[in-house]
Amino acid sequence: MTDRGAELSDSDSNFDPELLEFLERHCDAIQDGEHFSIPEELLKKHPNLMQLVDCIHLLDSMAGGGGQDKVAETLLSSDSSLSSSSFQSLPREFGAYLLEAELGRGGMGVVYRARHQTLDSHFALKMVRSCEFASDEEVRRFFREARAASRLRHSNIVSVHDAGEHEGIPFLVMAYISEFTLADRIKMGEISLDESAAMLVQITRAVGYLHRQDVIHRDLKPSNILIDNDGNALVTDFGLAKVFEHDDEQTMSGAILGTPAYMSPEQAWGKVNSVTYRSDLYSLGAILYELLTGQPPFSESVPLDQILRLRDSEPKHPQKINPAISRPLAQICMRCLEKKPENRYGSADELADDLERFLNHEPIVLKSMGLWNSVRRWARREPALVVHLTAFLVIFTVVQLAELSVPGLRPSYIPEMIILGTWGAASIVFQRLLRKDVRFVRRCWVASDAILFTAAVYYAARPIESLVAGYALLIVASAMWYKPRLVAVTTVTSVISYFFLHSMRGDPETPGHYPYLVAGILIVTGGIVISLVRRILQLLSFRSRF
Amino acid sequence: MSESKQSTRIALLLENARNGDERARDELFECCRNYINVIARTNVETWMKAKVDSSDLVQQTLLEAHRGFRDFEGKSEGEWLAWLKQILAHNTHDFIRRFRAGKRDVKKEVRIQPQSPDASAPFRELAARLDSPSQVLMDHEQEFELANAISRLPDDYREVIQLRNLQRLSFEEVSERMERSRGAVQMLWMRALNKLQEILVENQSDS
Repeated sequence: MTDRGAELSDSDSNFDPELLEFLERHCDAIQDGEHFSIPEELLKKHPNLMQLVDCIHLLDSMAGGGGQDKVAETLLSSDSSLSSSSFQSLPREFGAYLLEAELGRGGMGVVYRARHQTLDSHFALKMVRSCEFASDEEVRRFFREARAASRLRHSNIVSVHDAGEHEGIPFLVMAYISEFTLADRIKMGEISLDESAAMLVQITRAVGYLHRQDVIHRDLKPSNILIDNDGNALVTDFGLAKVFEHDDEQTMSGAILGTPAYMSPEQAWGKVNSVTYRSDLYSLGAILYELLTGQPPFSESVPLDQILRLRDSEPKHPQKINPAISRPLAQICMRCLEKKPENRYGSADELADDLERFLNHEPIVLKSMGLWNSVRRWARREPALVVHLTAFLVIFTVVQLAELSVPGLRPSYIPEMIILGTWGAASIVFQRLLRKDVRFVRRCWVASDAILFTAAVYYAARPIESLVAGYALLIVASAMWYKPRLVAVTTVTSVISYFFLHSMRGDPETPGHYPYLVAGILIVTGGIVISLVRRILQLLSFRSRF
Repeated sequence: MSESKQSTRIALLLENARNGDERARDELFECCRNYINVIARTNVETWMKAKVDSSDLVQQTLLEAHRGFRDFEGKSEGEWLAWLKQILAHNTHDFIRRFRAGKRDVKKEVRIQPQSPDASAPFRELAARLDSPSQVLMDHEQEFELANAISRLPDDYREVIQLRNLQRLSFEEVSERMERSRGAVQMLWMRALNKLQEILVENQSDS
């Protein structure tokens, strides 16, 4: 045992990523019951490879031949009461029901199509998955769903008929609607705009009923909406429903529950207390958005990006994706997707009313957002452009005031205004290109910022040294893209531009080492900003692991 | 403390214990604790997909094996370990059922009172049913050595082997359970594997 330390450092120095990769793949293969040959070269490099592989084999045989199935088999040998989902064949009996087929797996349960043996009719039977048994919280949530749902009667809500525990497995019995969800329907495509609106009216009416019963669904999404044979939409899966009546069991502690693509911003950021019925309205808007455009509002594949965008940016206007969408319908949709809950519709019924007005070709009553909110929304949609234009406005005002106070004194006035104008035009062009997803636009944009800034300072009246602070501002501002590389590009361009500027227009009396100090300051600033951006990204990726 | 010596020691202890030597019997059970420990944890956690304290299960199993010892008729270590494993499987079954049905507080519900003599009857049958196929027995002996080697690993090495190899979790899941980055867990796993192999080789060369 005394030589453990030595052995550790020894195995570290022998560390070979190739070996790790091989062992990993081999381990996976063994666990899948496959065979894997050992490459000669690797064996030459690592003489103990055979033993390591043997070791993995030995461990695996100890874990039991077929993984969980083997464990289950030993465990089930004397009694079948542990009959739980994953390994038993269908059909099989479960209390009064015969489980016929698996319909789907939700966040915490498996849903089966089940036939009641006495009544001889079909139901959807949901049970908590075997692996989930360890947690009290989950079982509690499961029965909370049952309780909340059993009180509800609505033609667009899947009714709950029974709940209980059979042989230690909690289950819930619901009406059997179909195997077909709205998600499947969207995948099939070809839903007309009117059809979409009509379907959303049904869903929204059901959600309005839920809200009147003091139930917030919290996880509305296409896969939680069933479509029956007549094409009606029925809301199901109240797994996350928070009954805001008298329920003191809510211990959700800010864990992110729900599917990011259809989640309201307040939910995505884990503000449990600010999740209200208006969060459901957001989800309804997201569903409508997908029905209209064929994609969810924020379709980033990475949850991190989704959540970041959910807060910082606006979804593309539906009409830009599908020009056939009429303006009122797009307006209704975007109103549901407002970041601030109070800017959305007042209730699900108001939303349903407006949708019905649209279907009847009546004018919708959506009240105006006010100029301020529209400007803010535009600012969120085009943040970079807005920041630029605001900065130009400030500079323009200052230069103009200086010109007005002593007219004609500054020969720099005309070139300054030309550069400012060019810069503004360039920003608008870059924004357009960005929207078209042209590559490297951001890099070109930040680099051109530094260059145009240099040009502006070049024409400014002496002494120009105090204006050098603008480079630091550019570096910090580039962090708003959340991309370390862009900060680096800005820093490098700024430093080069600064040296150029100094050589052309620098004050000859400046001590020779000053420019190097300034460059040093800029580089350090860039470094700090990069590390901060990295940290923010890490925090976000940590948060978004759900 | 070589593993193979221990194997022969087990055969010896087994013989003495069967001849009524109580001290030999206690020592025998103490030797097998590691083995039961590893298997119990693997079974329970694979089943529950969560971290579960299985020490009560181990205790219960050793207790029942102790009580049913008179009925054990095998002679080799292999048969002995297979017999222990059967009792363990039976108890694991009960453990999981209680864990679910009751309000998931296992400690309160594990029986500590000795059972009636009849309760050990199933084990007699189990033991009788074991026809000692040699392949199975070999495996059991190897597993016994492996369990001992695993219990000699440092804590975090043992944990990573337990989760990745015995419970067959993916590295993602392991890194979540251990609250370390995926890269760190992979490095740890490789070192653990190296160390485990070293311990096993060490014991072989000792014999």
